[in-house]
Amino acid sequence: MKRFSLFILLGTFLICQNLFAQVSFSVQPPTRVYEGDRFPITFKLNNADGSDLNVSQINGCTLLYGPSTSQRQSYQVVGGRATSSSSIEYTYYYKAGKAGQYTIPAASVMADGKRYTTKAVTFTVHESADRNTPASQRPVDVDDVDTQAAGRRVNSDDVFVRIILSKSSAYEQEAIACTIKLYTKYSISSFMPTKQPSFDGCLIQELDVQPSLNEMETYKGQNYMTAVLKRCIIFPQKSGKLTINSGNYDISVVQYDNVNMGMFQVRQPREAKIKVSSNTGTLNILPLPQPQPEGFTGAVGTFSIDSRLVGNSFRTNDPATLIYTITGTGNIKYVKEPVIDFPSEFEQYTPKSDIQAEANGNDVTGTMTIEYTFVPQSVGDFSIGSDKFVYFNPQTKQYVTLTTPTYSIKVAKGVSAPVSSEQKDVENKNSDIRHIYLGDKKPQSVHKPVVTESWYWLMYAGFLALTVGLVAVNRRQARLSADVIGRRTAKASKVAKKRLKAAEAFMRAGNSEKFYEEMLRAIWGYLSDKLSMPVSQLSRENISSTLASKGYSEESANGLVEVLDDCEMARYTPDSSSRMDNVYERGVNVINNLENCKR
Amino acid sequence: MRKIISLLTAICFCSVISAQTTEILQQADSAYTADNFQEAAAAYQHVINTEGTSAEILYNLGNCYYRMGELGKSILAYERALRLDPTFEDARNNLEFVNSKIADRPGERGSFVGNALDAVANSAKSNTWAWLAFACFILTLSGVAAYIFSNLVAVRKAGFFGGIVTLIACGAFIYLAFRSASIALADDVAIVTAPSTILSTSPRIPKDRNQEAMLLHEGTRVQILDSVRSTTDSVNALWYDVQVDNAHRAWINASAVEKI
Repeated sequence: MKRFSLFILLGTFLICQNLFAQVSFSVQPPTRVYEGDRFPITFKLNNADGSDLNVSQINGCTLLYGPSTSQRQSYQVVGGRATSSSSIEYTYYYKAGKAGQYTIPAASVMADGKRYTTKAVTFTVHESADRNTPASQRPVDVDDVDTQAAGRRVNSDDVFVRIILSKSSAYEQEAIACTIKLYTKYSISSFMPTKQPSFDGCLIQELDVQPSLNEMETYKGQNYMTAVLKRCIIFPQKSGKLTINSGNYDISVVQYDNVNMGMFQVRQPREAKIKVSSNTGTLNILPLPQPQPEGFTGAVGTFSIDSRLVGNSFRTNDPATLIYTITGTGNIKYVKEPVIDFPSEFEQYTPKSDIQAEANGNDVTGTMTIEYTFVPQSVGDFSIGSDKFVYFNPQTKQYVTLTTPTYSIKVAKGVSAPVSSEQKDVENKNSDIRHIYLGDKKPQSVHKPVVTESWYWLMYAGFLALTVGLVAVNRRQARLSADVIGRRTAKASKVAKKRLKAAEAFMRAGNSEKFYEEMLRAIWGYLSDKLSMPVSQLSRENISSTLASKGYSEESANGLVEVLDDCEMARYTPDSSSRMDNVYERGVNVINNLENCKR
Repeated sequence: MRKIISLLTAICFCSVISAQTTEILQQADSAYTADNFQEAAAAYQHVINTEGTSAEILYNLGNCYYRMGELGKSILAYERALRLDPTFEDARNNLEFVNSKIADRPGERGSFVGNALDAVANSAKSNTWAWLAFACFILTLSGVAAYIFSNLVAVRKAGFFGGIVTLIACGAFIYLAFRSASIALADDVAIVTAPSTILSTSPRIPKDRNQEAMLLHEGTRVQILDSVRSTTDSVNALWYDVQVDNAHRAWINASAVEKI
């Protein structure tokens, strides 16, 4: 039961698919018509049910009856693919008027809620006299077997091959439909291409065509049977003038020989071998406008993109998928796989891409699906960068940029995460120059090393001189300190001289009274200082004992007392100046002795 | 007294200008951060022209030029920054980075000993070496003084040997100060600033392919050994005899290089 329902489902699906088969409405002009002939005009509706047929009569011809409707349906399965086609023919029968050009007005029909209209077609009604001219002198006609007599030269307009391009000027990579069609007035018994047309500088997407001689077509006012030999969509790969070289074909056409069998005439087919070359197709390919925006990889047409992440929770070591879909019309087969900016913490696998493209009409439409499988390796927040898809739209002559969103992914710890205690080195993903210095920059106009400055060297000289000077002074001091007595004498005499300065002055002036007075005062003052006792506490009697107790020698103490006595004495006795010299000399000696005496 | 007043006014003047300059420099910094490198470079250049330069400004200018894709000028700026301050770690890092991006990879330059000495000399500023030398000199003098003045044998010994050691150190530091100064002041090093230039085997435009010596690209460092002014086809041009590395030496048009 289940299987049966599946079949029903499949069948419904196929029928549904058939609904999308191409609907067309066309008119078949009459073949050769002479004055007064009856002829049919057939309107053919393919793959739809028509209603509200609207047909105008042909001016100058008489409608005999119509429409007569005939319906045909075919269904075939080829390689598991079912195709079905149906057609309804509406036929009107007319009686031709006078010779001349007639126009079948445009007719229309409603089908699938849409109105389809045929083109107005002209046809010729020949003079009835033409019928009587010998067939060999009439131009070859598709439907007039009499004209297809054997031995007749097959002209280049009787059988030929055309390369038909949908446009003569296009951009690089823009889709161009190319049809190679055989036109013939004769029937064909064999057809052999000896050289196929070559599409240099183009990528080709071929359409599936089964050549069959079944279409009637009017070309340059003459009727031909036609067959589509090849149909393809070409994508020019370079700009400039592109030429599609002509193809060569060996064709056998069937001509008829009239054989008189006495009672009746029999037409006997005869094959005539001819060689036919097609025309050459030329294309003017424009280069894509410059400058090309960043990220343009050569997609030309109209596209839309979509990307989605499968699932919304991610775990380490659990594979996840990002599906990227490009849908559109154009060179979808040659679109480069976008490179998605995955964080380097994700392990990536080679993306799987699948292109489903089908050529229909003059272009290729399809979908490119790319599956990016990645395995997050680390726990944390990551983002999958957005991708820019840039394509060129030849209709608007502009580049269009589409962007996919950025995905923020939170990766949780996976259950299957292997316990790894191994430490990883810190990895430097990218390196760049360091950032500018933001602090105070302190511009200076002069940058001169101090070694080039003279003051720097003068400092050396200065310190050297200072040291040398110090050493020199020290040397002198040392020399002096080596002579201890000399130094002491020098020092003592200095003290004595200082004390007795005033006395000396009076001595030189010869003022003996003042001299002695000053001598005494000086010596008493000196002693007071020396012994740290006020003068009032000093007397002739206690000097000796005090000096002795302070450690001065008795000799110097006695000398001192002697000098004091002499001074006292001389003060009250008139005396000569020579005595003053003596007293002064002795005073100096006494002080020197005291000074030199080591305490 | 007059001297002091003029000095004070000079200092005041300086501080006023530097306030303005600081503002320009801050604007330049923010322009750089906002990816407006042209403007930042112009501002830094303006300050260099008016207020003088510093290692940091040149470093920032080098960053601007690198972001603008002008590798030659960028290297030039970093080299100049390092001349002012050879210890500027960021500038050295960026110079190495940009040098790894240029088209030419030159061979070995200089001798092992010379390069080692240069590296040692460049590990500090010339002035640092100079003041270290001076400090050593003072120590030497102190040692001498200790030797002369002290009565203690230990101090005298220490003074004597310490003096000798510091004297040697002083000499070494003076040598390094001079070496560092000569690196900083050398005017014979240049950087190729032209996108690419053909070097000639003789000091004129190469007449045919046989006279072409080598092709150098932007950013390559060359040492100028000699210069010649030559006239070819009534075009007067200065040509430098340059040493690219130990194995390559040729003549280069002076307009293709800029001295550091």
